[in-house]
Amino acid sequence: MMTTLTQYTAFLLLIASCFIPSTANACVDTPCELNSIAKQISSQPQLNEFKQLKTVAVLTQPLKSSGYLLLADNDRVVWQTQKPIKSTTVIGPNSFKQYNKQDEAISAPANSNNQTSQLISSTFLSILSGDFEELNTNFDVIAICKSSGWSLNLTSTHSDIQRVIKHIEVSGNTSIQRLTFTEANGDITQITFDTIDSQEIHAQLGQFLVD
Amino acid sequence: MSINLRFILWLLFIALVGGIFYSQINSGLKVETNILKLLPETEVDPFAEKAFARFSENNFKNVIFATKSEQKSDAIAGAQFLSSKLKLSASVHSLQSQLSEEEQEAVGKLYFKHRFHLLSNSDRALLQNKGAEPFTDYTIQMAYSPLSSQLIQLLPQDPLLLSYRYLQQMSDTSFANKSPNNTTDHSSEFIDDILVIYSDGAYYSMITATLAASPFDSDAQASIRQILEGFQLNHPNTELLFTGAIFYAQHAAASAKSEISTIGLGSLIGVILLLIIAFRSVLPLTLTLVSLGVGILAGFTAVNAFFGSIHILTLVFGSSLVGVAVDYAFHYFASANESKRPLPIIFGAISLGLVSSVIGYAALFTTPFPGLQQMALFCATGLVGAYLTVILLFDRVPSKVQTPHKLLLVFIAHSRISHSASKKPFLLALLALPLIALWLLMNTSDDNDNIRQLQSVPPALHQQEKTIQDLVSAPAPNQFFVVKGPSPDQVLTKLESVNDQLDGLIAQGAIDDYHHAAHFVPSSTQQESDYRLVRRHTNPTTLQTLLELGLITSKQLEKLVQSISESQSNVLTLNNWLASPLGQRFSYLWLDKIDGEYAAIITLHNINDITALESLADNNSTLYFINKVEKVSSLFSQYRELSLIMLAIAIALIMLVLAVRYNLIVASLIVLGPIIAASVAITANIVINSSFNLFSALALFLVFGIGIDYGLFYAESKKRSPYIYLAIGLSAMTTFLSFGLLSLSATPAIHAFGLTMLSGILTVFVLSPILGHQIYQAKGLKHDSST
Repeated sequence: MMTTLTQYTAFLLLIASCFIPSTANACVDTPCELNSIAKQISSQPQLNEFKQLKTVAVLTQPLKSSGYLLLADNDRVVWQTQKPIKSTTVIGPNSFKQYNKQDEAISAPANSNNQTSQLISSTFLSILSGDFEELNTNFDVIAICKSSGWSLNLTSTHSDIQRVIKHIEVSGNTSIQRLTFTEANGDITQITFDTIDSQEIHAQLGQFLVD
Repeated sequence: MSINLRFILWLLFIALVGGIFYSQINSGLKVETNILKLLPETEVDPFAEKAFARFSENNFKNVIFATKSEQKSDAIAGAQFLSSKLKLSASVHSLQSQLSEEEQEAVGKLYFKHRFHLLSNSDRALLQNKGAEPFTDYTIQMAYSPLSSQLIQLLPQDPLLLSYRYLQQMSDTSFANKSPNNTTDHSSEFIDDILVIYSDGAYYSMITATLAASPFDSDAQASIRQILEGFQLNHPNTELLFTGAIFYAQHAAASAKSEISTIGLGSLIGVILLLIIAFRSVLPLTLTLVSLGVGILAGFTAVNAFFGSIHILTLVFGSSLVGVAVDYAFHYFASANESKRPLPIIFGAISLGLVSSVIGYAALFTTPFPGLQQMALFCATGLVGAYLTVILLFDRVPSKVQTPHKLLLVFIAHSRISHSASKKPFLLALLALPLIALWLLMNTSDDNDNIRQLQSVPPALHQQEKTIQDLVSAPAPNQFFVVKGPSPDQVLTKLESVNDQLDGLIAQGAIDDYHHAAHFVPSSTQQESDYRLVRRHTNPTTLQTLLELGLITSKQLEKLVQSISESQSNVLTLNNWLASPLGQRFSYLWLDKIDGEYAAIITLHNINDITALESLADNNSTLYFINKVEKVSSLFSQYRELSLIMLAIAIALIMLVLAVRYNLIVASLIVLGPIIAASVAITANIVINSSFNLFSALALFLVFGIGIDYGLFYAESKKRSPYIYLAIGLSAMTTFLSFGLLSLSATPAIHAFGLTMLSGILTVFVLSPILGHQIYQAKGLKHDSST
């Protein structure tokens, strides 16, 4: 019920925005090249704050969480949830590590050999690191450029991914601002990013990149 | 016995052998190429022997391919091409694949159903020591990760994610590619069901297939070979590596076949040439060939009738029989030079010769060694066939022979030279040779008594096997532990009880990994105790945080507690697991019932230290270590020693018989030749191959048989005759030829056999006239004056 409502609201907003006369023709979609977007966000700041809202059909309340995201130079990202409970995930091209609230490595899901989780973590990595060209392999990508920014609409073409993800929307301007996953069963995860600048948090997250 | 009566007897013999042979052809002749069929049972315990047979039957059918390229796409495309061809082939039963979506679901459901009874070792320790908190923390972490809706759905029924965690650790231990060099330049991933490994600058795509038939099946070998050739044509730039019993079997069969034709044909041509030169007539040639043909037919038929099939190595070995069986014919025709009725002259000698050879082969036959039994039976019946043809048929077709005088002169010259060497000091000096040989034997390591002696292994194939083993951790085919017990559950309990020790082996580097069925299905005792632990830690207090976050409602929790208490007896059974897609893939871990007891195996991966495994099994009564290679090798050593002792006993027996028939001096002289020859052969083996193995020891039996024949020809002759030299000379030449060719064999065992024969017979041949003079003297015969 919640899901439908959110989608409906989003749709209404979109329709509404088209009727507001504005200086730029915001509603004329301009298809654009992926690498031009990638160029725009190459200035993606390394450290972000994120807020996540998960709307899950089987739960009466949505799950809210927040934390930090660090994009490291060597194609690795550190994803740290601070609330409701601290946990850290480090994703690299061939690695996937998780740490608990005491920053101890959890050995449980060593599923790097599982084809699906491998595909999904590499998709996640491609999106966060702005490596959009990679996405073409497993997704139909529609890129839209507007004066205010850009957005990508990804629909999976790979059966293994389809089992988990229906589609993904990414939008932003000089950096990724919003990421929405719609899972196969209709559950939606919305993540918004805000760039921050904190030496302290940067250093804290950076520790997870040291092997 | 009249000539015609003998002829009728011969015809009856031929009809009998031919009739059996004909019926064998009709029911289908079987040529065996599996070397394991030559080996004796190595285990004292028949249970272990059966366990090995059951495991190896499966394991032998496995084939691993790797396509290698610097381009990832080439390696994958190659693997896809190869797997599509393999899938179409009738020789391939199946390709090993990742679990399909449906199968994963089935496995997931099975483990979900039994989730309250299943804890991995680490989770059990965690739950015991730290309670439910690490579990709920992990649940929250998973629930809040972006793509978690499927897991969230599980939470009301499995808030600690026990089923998920158990499945994860299981797939971690069973599917993970644990490579010894787990560095950054070595990585692996699955792409469209194909395992792609990056290592040392190249990409390898792996395919594992299971054959439909035995790897020794020649049709399967041909069709796999065809697929490989097709691959190389289509992908000239992609390297293809492969390993599996089938490739070794194919190579062994091909080299055995070519050896049968070279050795058999080579000695046959040699025999024909010698007969033409020595007797200058077509009739002796034809008759000799008939006697050989009858011999081979008799040997072939007898082995087939007795063993149900004939092994290809028996044929390789048997083809050298030509060189021995021809001796009777040579003696006949050599004597035919001086007598119209040569049979009475040579009858005693060739009959005694046959008896002594058959005694030798009978000794071989008593070894509990199917390969040797086959060879012994083949040779003994072959000799009988050739012998019967000579005594029953040859007189029926009187033939006049005239050996060229020049040829005789050569043999007589040899005899003259020998005579001048036939002095007591020389003979006494010869006695030093056995002492030297004995000393060498004592001081040579016997590490060459190895199963690999029976198989020629091309280095390229061996290298590929090593490369593939470095990439993927495949279970060792010939070494593993067996655990048995009166019920499946007791076997599982025993498997669990050795986990710590096996982990110890990994820690000390003896092995890289091990697998057994209890990884997938814990024993019921374990499951019941895990159930009690889980039940104790699932309540509103331990799940407080989950309740607060709304991941589980109190109503759901109530229901959960209820369902836990109801599922007390819901244990995952071995049969449930075996029926699941996972159990089907790992069914080789469970041997089921053998001789009234249940058995399971523990596979070992990348063994680095065999002695550590042996000592573990020695100190642990539950574990039975099976090490086929080592067992066969030690068995070969035992048999080598045994056969040398048997030989000594046989010599003593023959000596006794001869001493009764002649006298002690003549008997000693007859036996001295073969003893010296054996000493020379032992020395030659140790000098050339730096080893003296079982197969050389077995060849000594033949050296003895033939050597004693030569001595008997002198001892049995009523007068000094140059035709004895002729017969012995011709016989020795054919023996050199056939066994000399045998020493060229690529199969180490056959090479050693050939070398022993070559050096042994050469010595006997050189010594026989020297000792012959002494025998004549001892019998009081005057020096040969026929020339």
